Formats: sequence, C-alpha cells, structure tokens
Amino acid sequence: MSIADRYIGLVLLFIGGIAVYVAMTMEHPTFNNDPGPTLMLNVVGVLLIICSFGLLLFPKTKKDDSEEEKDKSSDQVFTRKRTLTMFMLFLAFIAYVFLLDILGFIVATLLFLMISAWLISVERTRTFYFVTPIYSVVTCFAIYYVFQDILAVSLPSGVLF
Amino acid sequence: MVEIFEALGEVLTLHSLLFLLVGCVVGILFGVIPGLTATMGLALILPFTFALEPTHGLILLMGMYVGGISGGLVAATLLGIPGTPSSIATTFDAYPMSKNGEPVRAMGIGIGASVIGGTVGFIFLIFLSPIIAQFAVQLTPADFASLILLSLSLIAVLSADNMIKGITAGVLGVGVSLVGFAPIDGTARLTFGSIQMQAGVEILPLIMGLFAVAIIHSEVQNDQVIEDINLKVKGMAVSLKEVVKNKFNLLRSTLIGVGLGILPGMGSGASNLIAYAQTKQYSRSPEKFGKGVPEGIYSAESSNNSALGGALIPMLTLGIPGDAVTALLLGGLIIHGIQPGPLLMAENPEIVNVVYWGFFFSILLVFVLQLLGLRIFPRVLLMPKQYLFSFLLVMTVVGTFAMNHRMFDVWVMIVFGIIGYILMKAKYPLAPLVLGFVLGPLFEDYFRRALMDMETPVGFLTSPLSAIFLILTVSVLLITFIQEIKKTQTKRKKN
Repeated sequence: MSIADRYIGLVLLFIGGIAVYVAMTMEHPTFNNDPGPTLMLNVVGVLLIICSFGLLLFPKTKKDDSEEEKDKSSDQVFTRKRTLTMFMLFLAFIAYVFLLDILGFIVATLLFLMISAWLISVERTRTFYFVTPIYSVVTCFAIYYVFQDILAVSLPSGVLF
Repeated sequence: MVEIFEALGEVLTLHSLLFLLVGCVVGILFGVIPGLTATMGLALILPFTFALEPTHGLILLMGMYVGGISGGLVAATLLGIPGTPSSIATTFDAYPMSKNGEPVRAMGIGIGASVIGGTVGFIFLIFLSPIIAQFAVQLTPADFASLILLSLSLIAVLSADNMIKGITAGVLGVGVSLVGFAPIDGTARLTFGSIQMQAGVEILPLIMGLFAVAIIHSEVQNDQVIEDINLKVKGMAVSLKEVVKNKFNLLRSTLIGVGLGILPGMGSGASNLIAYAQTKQYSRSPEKFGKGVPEGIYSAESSNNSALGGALIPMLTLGIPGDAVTALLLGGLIIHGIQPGPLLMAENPEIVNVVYWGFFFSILLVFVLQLLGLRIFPRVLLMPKQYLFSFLLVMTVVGTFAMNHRMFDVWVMIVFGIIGYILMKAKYPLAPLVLGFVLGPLFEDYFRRALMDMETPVGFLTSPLSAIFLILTVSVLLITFIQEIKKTQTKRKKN
C-alpha cells in the first residue's frame, strides 16, 4: 500500500467509526423480527473499519514503490503546470456553481465558459481570442434555449439582474 | 401468433415509421449528450403523445426508450462519461480503447453488441414474457435478498487486481447508499440534521461526479494528446470472427441482462456491471480488463440492451415498472387509456403487439442510425480540448440540476468528483463502488422484509432458490479468493 492508501485508510477509519456511532445512538421504530435501519449501518461501519486496517497495516510492496517512482518520474515540470491548471479549473468550476444562484445561468455560464477555455488551452493564438467569445455566447444560449424553452427546466435566474 | 403479425402491418406504415425515426433520433441525442438522460427525454415527449393515436404514441415512446439507453454508448466510449447508469461498464474498456486510438472500433463493437443484446431481449419479450413474469412474482423477499447478495459478491471479482482496494470501494458505495431515509421504517440516517440529505444521494450526481467531473479534471492534468486516431476503418470495424469468438460471452451477458431486467430495481443499471464482472471472471486474461479489451465492451453493451426487453416484461404483464424510465412508459400507456397488468394481454393484445414490434424496430433503427454515426461521432475527439471540456462541465451542472431543480444535487456531484479523482489517482476501481451503491439499498430492503416474514434466518436456506443463490455466492467468493492467493504466490515465486 502507498502513502495515499494510508491517508485513505485513516479517513475511512473515521467514517466507519461515525457509521457505528450513529447506528449505536440512533432511535428508530421496531417491527417484528426486523433488524431495523441500524443493521446495514453497523455492517458497513465495521467493514469500513476492517478495510481501513487493511489499508493502514498492509505492508508496502515493491510494486507500490515502482508505481510511485513511475508517477514521480513522468515529466515533473510539465505535470506541475498542468496540475496547477487543473486546480484553477476546479476552483473556477466551484465558483461557477456558487455564482449560478447569484448571477444567474447566462452570466455565470458565459464567464465560466470563457475562463475555463482560457485555462485549459495550451496555446492562445489570435484565433483563440476571436473564437472563444463566439463559442461561449453560442454554447451558453444554445444550452439555455434547450433546457429553459424546450425541456421547461427553470434554470437559475440570479438575484442581481 | 397471427395477431402479432397483424400488428406488424400497423407498425410498418409511413406515419408509424416516421414517429419511430423521430423517437430514435431524439432518444439517441438524449443518450449521447452528457447531462441529458433517457428519463428526461421520455418525460419531455410524454405529453406530446397525448394528442397522437395510441399506436403512434407508443411507437414514439419505444424509439425514445431504446435510443436514449443505446445512445449512452457514444459518450461512454468517446468521453468516458456514462450518460446513463446502463453505460457505466461500457466506459471501463470502450474508453481506454478509444484513448488507444481506436474509437471507431470501440463504437463498432458496442453497436454490434447492442443490436445482438436488444434482439435477444425482444425474443424473450415476445415468447416468454407471461411465463417469466409469473415466475418473477413468485420470488420471495428471501430469494431476492440472496440473489442481490450473489450480485454483490461480484464486487470481489471486479476487485481481482487489488482485493483490499476493490472491496473498500464496494463497501463505500453501499455506505453512500445508506444516506437518507431507510427503507421500510423511513428513519433518517447519516443526514446530520440536513433536510436536503434526507432524500439521499441519487445515481445521476454520483456517476456525473465520479466519471465526468473526475475524468475531465484528470484529462486536463494529464495533457495526454491522442495523436493517432484511426477513423479510417472498414465496415463496422468488427469482424464476424471476433463476434463468433465472443458467442458465449454474448450469450451469458444477454441472459444476465434479460434476467436482471425483469427484476424491479435491478434493470440495465446493474446488469451491465454484473455481466462485465462475470465476463472478467470467466476470461482467460482478466488482467487485461479495464485497458481496452473487446470482451468487456461486448459484455456491457449486450447486457444493457437485453435488459431493455427484460424490463418491459413486468411492465406489460404485471404493471410493475422496474425503474424510472419504464415508469414513464407505463404512464404513456395509461395516458392512452390502457391499463397494464395481467389482463392487458387478454383485453388489448393489439397494443401489446404494437409495443413488441415498436421495440424491435427501434433496436434495428437505432442500430442503423448509430452505424451512420460511426465515423461522425468519433470526430468529437478532434474538437479542441478547451471547448469540449468546458462545454461538458457546464452540461454536468445543468443536467444534474435539471433532475430535481436542486443545487444541492450539483454540490453532491462536486463532492463525488473529488472522491472519484482521489480514488482514480490512488488506483481504486470505481465499478465496485457503483455496484455497491446500486445494489446496497435493494439488498437491505429485501433482506429486512425476508427477516420480518420468517421466524429465523434459517429460512434463507430452506427456500430452494435462496439456498442455490447463497451456495453460488459462497462459491464465487471462494473461487475469487483462491485465484487471488494463487496469483500472489506465483508473483512471489517469480520475484
């Protein structure tokens, strides 16, 4: 098991503990012969604790070492740049979801489409700066039209406008 | 039997075929675009059928039903995003094959397997539906619980490369399914006082998060460009020899699809994962699964399409919808004054026959339409990443939001996006997690009902079917563990 597995094991140990605790303290109606809603909670909680012990205590194998080395050796500078891009994209994605209710679908989506396209693109040529706004406007209004008008899904309209 | 062929004449009119074409095209579009689902498409088109003749309305719905589920193949193969739960297993091998530069071949296999699976489902539907439906209603909760336990034991098979990681993912999946109201008594579990969490976690945010959000971010990070995409292939990019080689795989997977399609709640969502696990177990090279082997695609696509026919059997003969999509189809029948149930065959045989033929011709038409798109759909891979990924991210949000008009579901999707990314990077298989999530609540429901029915848990062994399923469960687990121990020992000897 790798270091990541050890961390995952710790998190699962915590979740398993919570599941067992919730099962032990939960109040619920009882029917004839019914084990109640706590049965599966207990089973899952105990199994998660067992699995977490497996992840925490299983020895590190040669295969794990070679896999970690393989991951590290793969063009690190480039990977760091792309990892940063991924994090930025993820932050933009969370901001988009957060702002949907405030700015409304059209404004938030227009901004997100432009920012995410800018973040993901490797080369930004003149064509990029020309195409991206057109793409964002067309995509945004096409999605809006399909969902709002055809599918009758009321998309967030926002509180600012 | 004569009535069946009389109904054929009604289906083969110009008007009927036009409605079928519209249904299939719109259905495929709903299946292809991530965020749009077959359920959404059917819900949209259902009110329009009100003004149509029953025959035309039902044919339109059948086209949407088959097209919506089959269309999931395209996004699952080319983008690694399962548009519907029935395409989850398709992503495991079709997406890697597509990334290896063979998207047309991956789609060709999927399309071929779909038409075979769908046809088998149709044969079962037309010839055996009353018998199978009667058998299905005689299953006791104990039989159901044991059958689901057998399906859950396949988590061990799906985890064969790393047993601890796979089983952990499976247990985590069951754990996630426990959030919300418990079955039978309705007690709120793991909701921590949140009203939003009482409704539990739905499958769409889960698969959108685990597959779409996690995969898109991982792709952005990887920056791995598919340099050599082979779009110039002959025919369907599949040889007959390869199909014949997979005959047992196809037979097993379609039978699993039909069998599980009949059972309420299981349907094509679970059948593709279970069939995939079975194929992996019987394969001579299970270690190649997940890296783009054709067997995996044959299995997943034939089982989910055969499950379509299977799911129609209880809907027509007993009036029991297996899932949300068949519930909408049931609504379509009721809109036209047709009451599904045991008397439907006797009172409205012409309607039943129209459904049969509508289903069959939908399979054929979807096959033709997908063949036409075989060389067009993969061109999506040539689209600049910055536009494709940003569009897909927006679609995941809108599609998930549209399900219940709740932003909470979108946040759930993001949480599963993070979980999926971490698990993917730490090389945890996602299939056991989804299987655990789908089957966990069903198992709990039937298990508790079975215990309430019987005096002692020994009842699970006194029911013959339940006993067989339990013996099979123990056998599957034992075989898998023994195989795993042997594999570990061989590796140690080599080192």
